Amino acid sequence: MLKLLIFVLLISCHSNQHDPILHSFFTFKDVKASLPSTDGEVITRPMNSWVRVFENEDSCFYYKTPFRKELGEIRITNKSSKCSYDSEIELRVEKVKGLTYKISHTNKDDLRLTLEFNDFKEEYKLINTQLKHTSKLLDNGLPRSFISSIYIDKKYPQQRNLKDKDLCHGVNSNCQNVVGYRCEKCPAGFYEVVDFNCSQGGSKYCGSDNCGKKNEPACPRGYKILGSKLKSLCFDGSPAGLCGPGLRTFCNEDNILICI
Amino acid sequence: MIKGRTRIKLKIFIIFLLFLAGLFYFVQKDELTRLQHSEILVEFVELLSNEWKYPELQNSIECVDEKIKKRDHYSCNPTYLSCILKNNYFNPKIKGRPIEYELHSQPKLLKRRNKRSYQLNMEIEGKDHTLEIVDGCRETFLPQRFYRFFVANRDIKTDWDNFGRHIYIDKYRVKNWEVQLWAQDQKREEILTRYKSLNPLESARDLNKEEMKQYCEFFGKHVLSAQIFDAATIHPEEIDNPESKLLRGSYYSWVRRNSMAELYSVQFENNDITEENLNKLCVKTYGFECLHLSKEDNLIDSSSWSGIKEVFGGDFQYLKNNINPSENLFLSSEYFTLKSKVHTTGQRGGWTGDGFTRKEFNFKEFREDLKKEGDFGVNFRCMRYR
Repeated sequence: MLKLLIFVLLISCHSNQHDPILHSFFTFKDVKASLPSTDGEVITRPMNSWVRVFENEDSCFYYKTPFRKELGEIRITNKSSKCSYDSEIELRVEKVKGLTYKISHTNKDDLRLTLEFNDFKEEYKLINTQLKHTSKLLDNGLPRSFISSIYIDKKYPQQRNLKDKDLCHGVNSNCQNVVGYRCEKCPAGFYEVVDFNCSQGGSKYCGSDNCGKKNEPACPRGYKILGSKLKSLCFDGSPAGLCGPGLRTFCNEDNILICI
Repeated sequence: MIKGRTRIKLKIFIIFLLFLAGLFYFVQKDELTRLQHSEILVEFVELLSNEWKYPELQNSIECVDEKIKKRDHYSCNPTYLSCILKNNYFNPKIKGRPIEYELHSQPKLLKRRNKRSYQLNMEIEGKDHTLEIVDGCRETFLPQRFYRFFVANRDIKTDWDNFGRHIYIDKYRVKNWEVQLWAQDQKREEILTRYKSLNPLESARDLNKEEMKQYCEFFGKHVLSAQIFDAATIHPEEIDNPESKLLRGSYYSWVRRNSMAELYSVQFENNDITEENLNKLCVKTYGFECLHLSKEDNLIDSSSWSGIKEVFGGDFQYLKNNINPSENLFLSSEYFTLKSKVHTTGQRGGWTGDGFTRKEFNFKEFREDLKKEGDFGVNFRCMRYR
């Protein structure tokens, strides 16, 4: 009878005890994938290394990749100030092979993640995760999540905003981003100026859009309408910007087209 | 045969194993209960999200205005949602059994980057949760293509494009309930006093230019400009080809060929306005002859190719216009007869931006078509870049 009891205990120990922790990691947190998307391919490289696969606001998902005869290991660790594979361990799964994940969504929502390793396969609904999107006709522009319009108990870290007149996206004459796009941090919107002839548009500044008024930036007309090959659209009398009545375009010392 | 002491040791060992098994069972059960609660939570929120975006109005009569019945007015509307939750008109079920819930607070406006959302504190199946409900229904994206801007009526035009730029426009004119929520958050007491007795579902019509700007900026947006409004309302010649530079400038926002609009025959071919064609006309343009019909429900169907609604008719619409400041008012409205050519795209007059008496307005060559005087109202909407 004793042997029977031990046997029953052993097989029940094996069944999905890591599932609730994994479920909690993915379902109600804002999950970010730290590895480029594998789209179903097994994670094997770099070999014999701790790689961070996912992280959310509180925890980090690490995987030690297999090497030769040694199988992999999954660790979910507590995130203190940053992620580390050897901080407080919330979950450890040893002898892991074939770790793979896939993210899928339909249209604007229904964002799901399928995680697979050994004989474990589970699909998680990413309720509080947001995925970037592309804008198209009749789009509402919201990021994708499982249900794009509702988040449950979502925590937002303290966010620092930019100030009025701060540069929130800067481009140069080679159309490189000298300041990466961060205009969502502008407290009261932002506006674009006419400076360089780039597909990502001209530089952008936080603040009210007063374009076209005297001594204010000219309103951009777009980079395709003129069909120009010039690197800079900023020169006196440039048709690349619109101004109010009686005003004309003028290029100031910051290479911004303004109305005077 | 097992000796006495060994027997005792065995018994202790078995009890210990049973204790471990029991502990393991209760931990698993607790995890299972938590898993089950999360499944219920997800089901609840999925159903709530549907109700939020596509409200079923027939079962919630107390929350629906008797004169304003179209679904657009109630989707992504937190005052409507809060009403149905308080009155238990929302009945979510999981596997056939009802999910219990209770609303603990009025929706609170949240200021988030790039989206407007509301916080609801609720108890769902005995556990407290904070839901953030995002407004995803009330904006539309302006496609990236070439556009024509009528700088001075339809006489001077400038072509431009928005490739590489993302512009989102409010689908509807700003409503009284939206102004109220903003005024509450910003503690604008005198606006709150003015708005207390107004119908929340009607469009805000008495803010001045500066107040409109402050409202839009609160959400990181700008007041809709005349240039963008023209783009969103002038039907493209070749809608499937964003690179098309064929920019003629059709008169009506819902149809490419002018003669296909009912309104064209009344304005340009001198057809009469009859009982038969009046309803069809009013649904696209709530003009002077439509005043006996439900304003909000008719206006909402005046739509444009880009997805924005409430385009023609109703009150005037303020459009920011730094390129031509004397043309900052879209004139198509209930103050003019349907026969007037004022009801075409690109027709703008002027407004001082503060005050609603006759002298604050300039109707240009359409003065003679004015049929309704006094009690002028000016609506507006916002737009944002990304």
